[in-house]
Amino acid sequence: MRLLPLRLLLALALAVGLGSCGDPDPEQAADDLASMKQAVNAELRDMAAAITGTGLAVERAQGRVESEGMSTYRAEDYKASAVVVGEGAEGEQVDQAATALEDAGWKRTSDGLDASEPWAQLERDDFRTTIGWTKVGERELVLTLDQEGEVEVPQDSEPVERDNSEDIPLD
Amino acid sequence: MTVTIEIPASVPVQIKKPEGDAGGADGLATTIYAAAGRYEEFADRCRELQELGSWAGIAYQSYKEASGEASTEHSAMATTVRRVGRGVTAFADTLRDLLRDHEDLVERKRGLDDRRTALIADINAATEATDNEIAAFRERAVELRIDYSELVTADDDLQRRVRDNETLLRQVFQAADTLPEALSSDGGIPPMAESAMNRPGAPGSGATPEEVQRWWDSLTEAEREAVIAAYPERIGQGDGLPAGARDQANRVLLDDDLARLAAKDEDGTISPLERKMLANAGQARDALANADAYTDPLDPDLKPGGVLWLYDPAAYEGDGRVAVAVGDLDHATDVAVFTPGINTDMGDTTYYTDRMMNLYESTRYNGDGSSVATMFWLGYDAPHGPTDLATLSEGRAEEGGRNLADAIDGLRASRPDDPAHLTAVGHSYGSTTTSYATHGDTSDVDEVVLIGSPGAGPADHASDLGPGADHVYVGRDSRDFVAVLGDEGWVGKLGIGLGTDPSSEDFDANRFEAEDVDRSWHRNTGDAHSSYLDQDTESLYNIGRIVDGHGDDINTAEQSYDPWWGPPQDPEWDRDPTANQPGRSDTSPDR
Repeated sequence: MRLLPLRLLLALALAVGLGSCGDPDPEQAADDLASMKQAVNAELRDMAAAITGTGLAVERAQGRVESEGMSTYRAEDYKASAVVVGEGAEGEQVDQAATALEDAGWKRTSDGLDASEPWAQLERDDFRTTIGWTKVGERELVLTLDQEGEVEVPQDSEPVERDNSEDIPLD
Repeated sequence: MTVTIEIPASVPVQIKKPEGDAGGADGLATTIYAAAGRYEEFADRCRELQELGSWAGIAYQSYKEASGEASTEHSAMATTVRRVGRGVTAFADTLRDLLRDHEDLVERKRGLDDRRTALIADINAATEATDNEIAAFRERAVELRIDYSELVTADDDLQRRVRDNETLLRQVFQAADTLPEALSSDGGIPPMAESAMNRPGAPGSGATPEEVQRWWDSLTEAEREAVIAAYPERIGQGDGLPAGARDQANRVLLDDDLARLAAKDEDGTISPLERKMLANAGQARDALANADAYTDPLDPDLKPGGVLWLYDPAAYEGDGRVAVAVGDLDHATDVAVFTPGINTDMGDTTYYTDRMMNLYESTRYNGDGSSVATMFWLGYDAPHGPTDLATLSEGRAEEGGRNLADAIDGLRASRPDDPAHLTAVGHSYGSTTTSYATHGDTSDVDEVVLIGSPGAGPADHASDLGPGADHVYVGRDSRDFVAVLGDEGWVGKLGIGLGTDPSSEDFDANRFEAEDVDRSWHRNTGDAHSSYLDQDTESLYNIGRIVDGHGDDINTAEQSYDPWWGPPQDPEWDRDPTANQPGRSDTSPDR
């Protein structure tokens, strides 16, 4: 019985090896992350333009890198967020922002999904945005933006500093 | 009518500031560690040069005896000098605490003096005071007197601890200030520490964690500081001791390694093992710095802090053993112990400590307000990777399971009157290790969480694990290649995995949603196997709820199954994963 795992786990070793053959080149990973950052920031500016003028304003945009993965895989992802300022009930403001984005070609994906509070999620191409109210500190309507995928980084990469937010100019 | 209201005096007149410079003491310790390194180098060199090949005869015998003696003496001297250095490090750590306490007391006194001044002003302003007003003044005066009295007691306590700390430092030096003492096996050990360590129940004596806890309880504060300074290896690994004491002792060892090995590295005399140890020490230092700087997601004024619960950078030929916690292990209501899987050694400490911050954050962010501590525990020799033959068997998991069970017993014993809600979380091979640790009735965890599991080792059913089936939880991303290796159904998988697949109907644990939006269309060992603790994922959300004591509130997923007529089925395969959805995958503040 003990031999069986040995025999068959050779297949595992092969599969795992194929899945992680070679550590990614750190320079390539840095370039890929920079491209992702550029794409997300550009998309956020586009969203801000779509929302602004519909009775809402977008301000205080920020982006940050997050460490992801563990064990056999490490990655970094870049996400952006901005504060949406408007008037009216919380649910109405969420809906107003989501409608503005729908008019710009975004598709609402959160219909039918339960959530404990006013909230919307939309997708366009390989971007996903979430619109919701902060639970901590001053109550603010925030939209976050994430691009599909992440950038694999070498196994010996250190985690990024947790507080690495940078302002994103919106104009 | 004249009314007398006794205003208490502002006491103590002065809160004396502890003398000394903690930074200066650290600098002294660094110099002493470097000196110890020199003695070690000399001892090593003498030993290496004993065999000189062709030289033989009486002169060679004399040389050999002399160099052997020199090696032994310098080695003993190095040990003593290191002990003295550790004593100085411990003095500096305690001095820092004392200076902080002094500032707190000064602040308290300032507050009391303000209240006193206000009371006097109010009394002076009241020319026609009513009986009720007079009674209120008297009540304020009485409360003030009580508070001043408590301040005096606290100040007395502070000054006593200052004296104890200075006495301990003096004793450390006195125990090594003659050549015979410096060369003896107990050089640099203060008598107070030696006597405490010789009492029954001391760690490292074969005592149970419960006996160790009672031993610690029996020590005076001065004795505790003394044993931390003189026996940091035994205190730092003492199961049953408070995490705070272990942390203090391990930080002493860490400072020693960082200074001594860096000096050897600079000299070019560092060995390959020592180079690994130095890198491991650097990881522990950086992980602690990150944990110490981490801020609670709900309270910007709260820094839960880091704990170096286990530190052994030389273990397993330099792979190291380490445990770093985020949060207060001695008092947190909810405690999680996370065991990693293959490919993990002490070089990964900063990364996994960062994952522990994610888990802390998720637990607090979606939690009931209770305090939390999350610990990365690498107290076993995790297989090196998929091509390491140890990955293919359960041997390391079994041995690691025993170590993890001991660690859990130690955590439990250290808090006899205030037990935490304790969750053991294991990932990948670490889930098999966790199964071994929690298998059977003797396990003392409240919840077990297995994620990305290649098999539950000795457990065929969730009820085989200590807390019972209702408190065993499983997270499996349907694309996770490793997590589909365990046996499911009647046919099984011919032993390819490490036991029963815990996400299967056969195992019957509580499976929670754990799909990741970047999981890919095919099975893989990348994102799908490694994203369980990423922010804003379904998995991290559910694990946070379990750690917080709300396992009945997870978002459940249907168990996988393996029908006799076809391949294994995973009902989660076709479900669209969510990210950042409130109540499902939102684990962190967006700003």
